[in-house]
Amino acid sequence: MADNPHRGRSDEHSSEGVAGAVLGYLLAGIVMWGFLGWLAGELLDLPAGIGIGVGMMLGAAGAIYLIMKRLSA
Amino acid sequence: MSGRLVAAEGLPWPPSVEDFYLPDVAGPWVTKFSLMIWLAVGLLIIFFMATYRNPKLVPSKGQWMAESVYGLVRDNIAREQMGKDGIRFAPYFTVLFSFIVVTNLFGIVPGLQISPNSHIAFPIVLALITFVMYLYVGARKHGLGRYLKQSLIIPGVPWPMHILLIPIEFLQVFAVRPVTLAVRLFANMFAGHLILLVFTIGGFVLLASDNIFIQASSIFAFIMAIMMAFFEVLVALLQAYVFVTLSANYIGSSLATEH
Amino acid sequence: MTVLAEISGNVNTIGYGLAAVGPAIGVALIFVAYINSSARQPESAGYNRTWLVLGFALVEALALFGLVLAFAVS
Repeated sequence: MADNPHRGRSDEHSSEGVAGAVLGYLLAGIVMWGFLGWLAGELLDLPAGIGIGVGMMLGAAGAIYLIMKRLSA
Repeated sequence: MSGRLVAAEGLPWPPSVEDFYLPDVAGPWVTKFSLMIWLAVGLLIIFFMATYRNPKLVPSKGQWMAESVYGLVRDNIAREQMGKDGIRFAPYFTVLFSFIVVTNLFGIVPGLQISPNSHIAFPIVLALITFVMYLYVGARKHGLGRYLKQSLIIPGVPWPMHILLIPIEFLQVFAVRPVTLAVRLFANMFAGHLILLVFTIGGFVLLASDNIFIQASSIFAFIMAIMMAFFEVLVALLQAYVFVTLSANYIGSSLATEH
Repeated sequence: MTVLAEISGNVNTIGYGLAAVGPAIGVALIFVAYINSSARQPESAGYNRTWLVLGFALVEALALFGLVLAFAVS
């Protein structure tokens, strides 16, 4: 790999790191906002499933936004 | 007899939970796992002491092996993931890597036959060490407040997005990272153990049948078990590499200055 | 009737297994496309990486929806 000019640059994310980070952010976003959405649904007496669904969508959207900001800048 | 256990009847050695408790070695708290951990630690200490007892400029065979393990971890993991700062952590990563490799390989050593990492307690402790280490290293380098701010708040984002993003980052740093680190190693080793067990026991159950054709088909189960044992070597090395690489990545990201 | 084997547990597990099929194929297609394109034109690898990460994240989100719902739905 001597001809790879990017080797050893510490600001470059490695491919294992990127895959792990993408999974981690998505899982964190969906679980966290799914939980918050479920909590909001329980407190506000929404019909079952609305809160967790909206929360998971929001979480996934936030996580994808975060991934694009963090990893591809 | 309930229907659930019919398949395991008639085996010469149905493995059970009692196998973990050795008969009266030094009390009930010395299990097979703790003996295996001591064995791994002893092996590693003896290996590195013996190969580095009198290091020479032209290395002997053992010294060459120890040096190539250290060189692999230092150049391909620590320096690759963390840059120049990684050299400082290379000894720890080397110990972690060789410990996980040795304990993973116990899964296919005859007589031991299970990796301590198939018990969720051991990966949890290994992941906790990494977790505490990256928090401590980050807090010491940047100061606690600045480290938290840097790892939770993304620069260049309109402020309403922070409400959405800060909980995600918080969960990522404080829960998802250590949990996935531990669960990945545990699940791989446990699944490998189960696969080996399924094919071996399946082979014996087929062999115990009274039909000659079914008995003949047990050869495929045994061939599969042997192939899977070699595949487990690959998984053992790969999972150790992944665990150490991700640890280095996390520690490196808490050392990194403002992105 | 003699019972030879029985399975006990939650159907959600099977549901998650089914839900993971689609994203698995999707992730595979995305990486195939990335590897193909960067083997043909290595200089475009850095440019395509952004879209690789975006596509991977979008597809993987579906699999994780399945994972979370498998635990959440009772």
